[in-house]
Amino acid sequence: MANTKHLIIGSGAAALSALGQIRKFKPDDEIKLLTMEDCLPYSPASLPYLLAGKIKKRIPWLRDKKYFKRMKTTFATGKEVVQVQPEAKQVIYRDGGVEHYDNLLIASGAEPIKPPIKGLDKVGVHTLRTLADCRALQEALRDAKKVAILGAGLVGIKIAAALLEKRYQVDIIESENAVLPLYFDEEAGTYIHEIFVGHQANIFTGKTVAGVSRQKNGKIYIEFDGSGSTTADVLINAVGVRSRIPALDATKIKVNRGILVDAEMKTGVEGVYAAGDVAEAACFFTGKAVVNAIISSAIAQGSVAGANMSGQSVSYEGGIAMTAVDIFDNSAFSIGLINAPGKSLKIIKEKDDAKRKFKKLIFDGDRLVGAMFINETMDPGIIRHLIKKRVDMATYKQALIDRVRPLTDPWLASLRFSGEK
Amino acid sequence: MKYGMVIDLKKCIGCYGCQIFCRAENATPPGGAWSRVLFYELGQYPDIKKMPLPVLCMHCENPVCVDVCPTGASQKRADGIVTINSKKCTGCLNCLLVCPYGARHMYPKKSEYFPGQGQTPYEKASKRKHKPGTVEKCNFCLPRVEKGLKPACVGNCMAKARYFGDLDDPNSEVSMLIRERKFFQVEPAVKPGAGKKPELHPSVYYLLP
Repeated sequence: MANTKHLIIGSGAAALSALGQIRKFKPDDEIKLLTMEDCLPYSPASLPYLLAGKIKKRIPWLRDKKYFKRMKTTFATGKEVVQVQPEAKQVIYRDGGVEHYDNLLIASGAEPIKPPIKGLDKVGVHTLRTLADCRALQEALRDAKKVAILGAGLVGIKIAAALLEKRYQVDIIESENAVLPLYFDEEAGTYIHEIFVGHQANIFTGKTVAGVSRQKNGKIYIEFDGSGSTTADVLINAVGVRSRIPALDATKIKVNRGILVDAEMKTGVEGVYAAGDVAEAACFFTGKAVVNAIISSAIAQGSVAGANMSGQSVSYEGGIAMTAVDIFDNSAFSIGLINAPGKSLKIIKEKDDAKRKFKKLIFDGDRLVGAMFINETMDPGIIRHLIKKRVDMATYKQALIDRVRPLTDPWLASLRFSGEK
Repeated sequence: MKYGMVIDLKKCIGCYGCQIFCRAENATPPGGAWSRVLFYELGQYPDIKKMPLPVLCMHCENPVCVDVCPTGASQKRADGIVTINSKKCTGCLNCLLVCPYGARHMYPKKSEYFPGQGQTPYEKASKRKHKPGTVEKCNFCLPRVEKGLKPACVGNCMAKARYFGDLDDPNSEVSMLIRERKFFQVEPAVKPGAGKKPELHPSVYYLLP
């Protein structure tokens, strides 16, 4: 029997995680990884740090050529898949080439959303999703003094922190009322806001941009809806990302915001899987399909897809939204449900304005479902474990906030010692 | 070759010796101990015992922290030790979010053992071992292991409860102990009987008390 051919679109976290799993279970199958870029795999999450110059010597490739050789995998660069044809079990490249597959994993990631702002194309806007974007932005920043960033999401915040450290003037424009609206509530967002303002950043929250234009002196003029305006030398778009989906017309693959997948990362069409930022998989809490575009979800989904592609039966336990940011020596974490409309959640909160400490634990009944904290020494990994394992926290709830008991207590209580069975 | 550790909970008395020697060896910052002693309760009231559980980085066989690292700073070495290359680490904290053992800590840019009193001479002297703004964790005392020594916590355990060696070698002390005694691994990522979920498979084994 001929070996199965696994084709993986993408070379990011999900793709590499799937590759590792397939090779583990199927030592002899043919595996081919496709990337639309012309370089080794890297993580877009490292780009803000590359921009900041925190990684100096070289680009942090996730894998090198030797790795692909060792894994007996073909790594094809410059291959952009524009169409998938599941009936014929083949994909079509942009250059017209056709590639056959037995198992296909779509892990093509995400691309920046372009907000519908008047004049955006004319003035030239930068994004930060690919290495080429990063190079172009570095080039543009060389002669710039003032930078405006659209969007105070994770990428926007990280770029802002990077640029502020390099002594640029930074304006952040966010349409929601607080920074990092997806991960922190307004109260916690205020703390992060203050940290940025303390470092001479201008943050405009609750402002949408009406239009941008280039002035005679070369500066970009940004006009807000309602009132107000600002100018900048460089404009960066960081409003968010959306799944980068190849054409799936005339297939039965369902697409919402991302490609809809079941718990086994199957798209419903035989032999086609999706994982990572491109996939819309179950949420850990609600079970509803959501795009959880974070690196750990990509790893977990890729691993599940890879295992199932090699004949195993593994299911995904659902994505938990989480994030960590370290800005100017302040750490901020957010894990799990921050707000769930329609559910009555019990919230335990503690804050210290002077020390800029903030702690909020969110419970659904006796289970911890979410947490956010700023400048606290709680370990986010243990919190995530308590959420993920649905540990009964009844006796620990208040004790945790009062610091009567350490966070590790419920963790220890939740351990099942394998030898005692 | 796979380095691992065996901790005999029958011998461990919870003296915090490992924690102190780890700090002395690695000059860990306040709040960021690589090797710690936790206590758990065994039994039901009034028949209850407080038992020590020394924890450190578990050097998992399938480390999730290595998978999520966007720069490749976290690596699993061929000898089983999970290390962080501080030159590549950007302090993005992704690994802290996924480690269920709380083994990783950010080395702070400003830290003092005694807040407000300045750094102690020891802190100043051991600064070169660290790079502020990067994530650190137990590395099984790699510099010592490379010299053929045991990790500091093992060599200095006064109850002689800790063992270190090659888990792949069937004749090593650690392998023999695991074979002969009842043991457990702290593996919170896997529910018992949950099936084929990806396992972390830690390299730290505990012998039952």
